[in-house]
Amino acid sequence: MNTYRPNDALELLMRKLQDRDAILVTLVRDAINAGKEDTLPINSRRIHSQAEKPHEYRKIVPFSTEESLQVALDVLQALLIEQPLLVNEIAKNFADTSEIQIERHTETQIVEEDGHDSHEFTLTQIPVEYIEEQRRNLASLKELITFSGE
Amino acid sequence: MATIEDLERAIDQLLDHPLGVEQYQVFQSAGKLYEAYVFGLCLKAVRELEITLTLCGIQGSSTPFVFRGAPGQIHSKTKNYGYAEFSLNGYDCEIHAGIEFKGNSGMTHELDVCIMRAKDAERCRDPLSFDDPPARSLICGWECKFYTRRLPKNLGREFVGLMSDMGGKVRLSGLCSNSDHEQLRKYFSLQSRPYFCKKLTPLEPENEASFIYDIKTELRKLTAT
Repeated sequence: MNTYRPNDALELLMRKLQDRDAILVTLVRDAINAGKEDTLPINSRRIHSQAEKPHEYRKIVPFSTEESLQVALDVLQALLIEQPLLVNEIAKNFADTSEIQIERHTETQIVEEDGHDSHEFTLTQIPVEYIEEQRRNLASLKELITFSGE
Repeated sequence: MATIEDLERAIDQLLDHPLGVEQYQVFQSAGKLYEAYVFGLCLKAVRELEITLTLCGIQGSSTPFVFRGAPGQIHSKTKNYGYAEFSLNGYDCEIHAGIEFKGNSGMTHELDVCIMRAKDAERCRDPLSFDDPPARSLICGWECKFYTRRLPKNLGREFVGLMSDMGGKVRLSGLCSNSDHEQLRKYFSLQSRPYFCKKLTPLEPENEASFIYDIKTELRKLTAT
């Protein structure tokens, strides 16, 4: 049982994200604001002389605060855990090659040379223990934002 | 009983980790990481057929192996764009990422990852006959989308449209994503439509295995006769 409410948890998480990265908080906010699809019943109706038949309709509804917290964690899982896993899978499947690069600036882009950003992103294998630590961190956070049954 | 301070500590631990916010910013600039991952799964599928696979670069050496950051042409030598080649039962094939094909309508389309006939690839790279590969040269093609949220539905319609212009000879095609959408599952469930390779991610090894199995099956069928 937590001493804080779902609203407190969501507000804290969004504030922490906002403090660190404007794009990251936008990604999380967009995922939450997209809402979810729900199937809702309406009162059964008579159609002429036929017996009442149930009818359901689809509606986009907002996530609850608790669901929003889970959605936020899904976004963080994709960015902070899945992406490093992708890097390591790529490195594994390209074991024959000593260097793998992904273009940052494409062949048609005009690039101002400022010496700070290379034109290519070079893949470097990520220590597996780092990824495992983050999986544990995410699992711990997930426990702390789970309010079901309270 | 967890306190708000416990929660704050847990959030900080996740975000301030070496693989936290700072690292994600590095990956975000990579853009095509997910395409490179799906390309890697294709390599794995070919290797599991116990075929010799060779990594190549358009400038000669395969080092560095460069993935395009935007759709490009198979004959472009601006950078050492990489590809892979293999041969199965006399069929010479190549695996590419981010190249444009000429659809049957004449319009060009980018395939994020594809397996194609090597003969057409070589001809299109020949300086005497630079061209975009024709639709008939495509054996397998995939759209690759990494999303942090539920997939937008329009991706399904767009990919179906793209593949319809590639003609009926493509043996295997699919929309690959780490994400999912219930309606896209229904949309792609029709017999004539590409596969929906949902939740294709290292977090779901069974889905990876299924994807690899489908490629192996189609390559075996193609080269069986």
